[in-house]
Amino acid sequence: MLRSLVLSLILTWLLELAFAFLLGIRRGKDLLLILLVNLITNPAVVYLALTFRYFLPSWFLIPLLESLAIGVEALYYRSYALTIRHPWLFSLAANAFSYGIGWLLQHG
Amino acid sequence: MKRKREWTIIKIISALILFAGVLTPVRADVIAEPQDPFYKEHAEECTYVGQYYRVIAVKGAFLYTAPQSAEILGQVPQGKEIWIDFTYVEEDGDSWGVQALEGELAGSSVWLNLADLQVEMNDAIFFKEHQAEIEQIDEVFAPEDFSGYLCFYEYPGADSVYEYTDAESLLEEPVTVNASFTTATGEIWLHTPYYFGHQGWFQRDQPVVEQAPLLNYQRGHILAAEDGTLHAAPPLTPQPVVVLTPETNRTDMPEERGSVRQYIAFSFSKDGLIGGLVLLVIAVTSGLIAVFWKKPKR
Repeated sequence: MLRSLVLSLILTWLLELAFAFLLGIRRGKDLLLILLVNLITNPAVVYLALTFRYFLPSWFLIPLLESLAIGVEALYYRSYALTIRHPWLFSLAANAFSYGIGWLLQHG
Repeated sequence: MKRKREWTIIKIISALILFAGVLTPVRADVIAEPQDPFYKEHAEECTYVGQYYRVIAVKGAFLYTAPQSAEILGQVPQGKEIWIDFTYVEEDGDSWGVQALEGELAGSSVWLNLADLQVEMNDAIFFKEHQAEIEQIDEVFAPEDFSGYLCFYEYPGADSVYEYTDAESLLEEPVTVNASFTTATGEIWLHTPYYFGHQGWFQRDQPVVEQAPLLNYQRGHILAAEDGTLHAAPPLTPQPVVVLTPETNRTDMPEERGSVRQYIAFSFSKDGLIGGLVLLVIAVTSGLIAVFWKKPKR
């Protein structure tokens, strides 16, 4: 499980940083904030998904965990980021981007 | 206006995420393949078996997320039946079986070490193993005198009655027989492909049936009398008589029969350490952000 957590975090970091760059976010402290915020949410989401995958249907578990992650991240961006002008939209889009790419990599 | 557009985009992306969450790994094929990473990586080396196994290991059979994984999901007690979809043989010769979970948990699968299991004999395996000894015939079984129940078994010598028919039906309509098998002890078994919705093997000179456990029937509803004939048990309290009927499609796996789902145990014991580590990371990182990031004035 630890291996899954670490690999998922690294992949998420790469994808979300790339997404932030694409959107023109260049401020070092904001990029670091993105890394730290994902350090808070990503391992927790993966851990809970792996723990509960045999007990809860994926159609319920995944949207629930992703929604929680989006909410937590958006609140952090809203509170601490200087150059992320639309924190909720950014959080939603970044998570959709990293989840989508991750899904394609896994099922492609 | 800007805010409204932002929320519209949020709604669209939310819908896409929900859709992605709903996507279940189901193919158009009849056989549902496991979707775990190990199976996907070794799919070419896996063989479809689609049959029941019985746990023979005294300690039971452990449930794993993958062959040789340290992550144990649960344990199946000795004597229980487990349905295995595919098997995989490692380079060192170890054999593993996997069950793809269905229903709400479709997409998850569980692995077992086949050293802890034994193939459950069934009619298909019996036919295959005794092909040379089974004689194809075209006859009818029409006893002139019969009492009690004619019991059908999945294969000669099975320890549980599969289905049965009463004497009244038997005396009205003979049983079509298409195969015959003689055991080493001289018992003659006949096979019917279809008889009032039943199929299976029955013993030509059926002796007194003694306490035959019934498959697919709830125990206690049918009792074996001293002479071996089967009778419906009297209800304990006055209630409508319930007519028990066999499963209409016996080849379908009953919902719980053979499923590993009932043996998966929810346990934080081993993963609790990792969970604790995750909590620690969350706490430390939150603290770092709170200390080193100033809230911008908006």
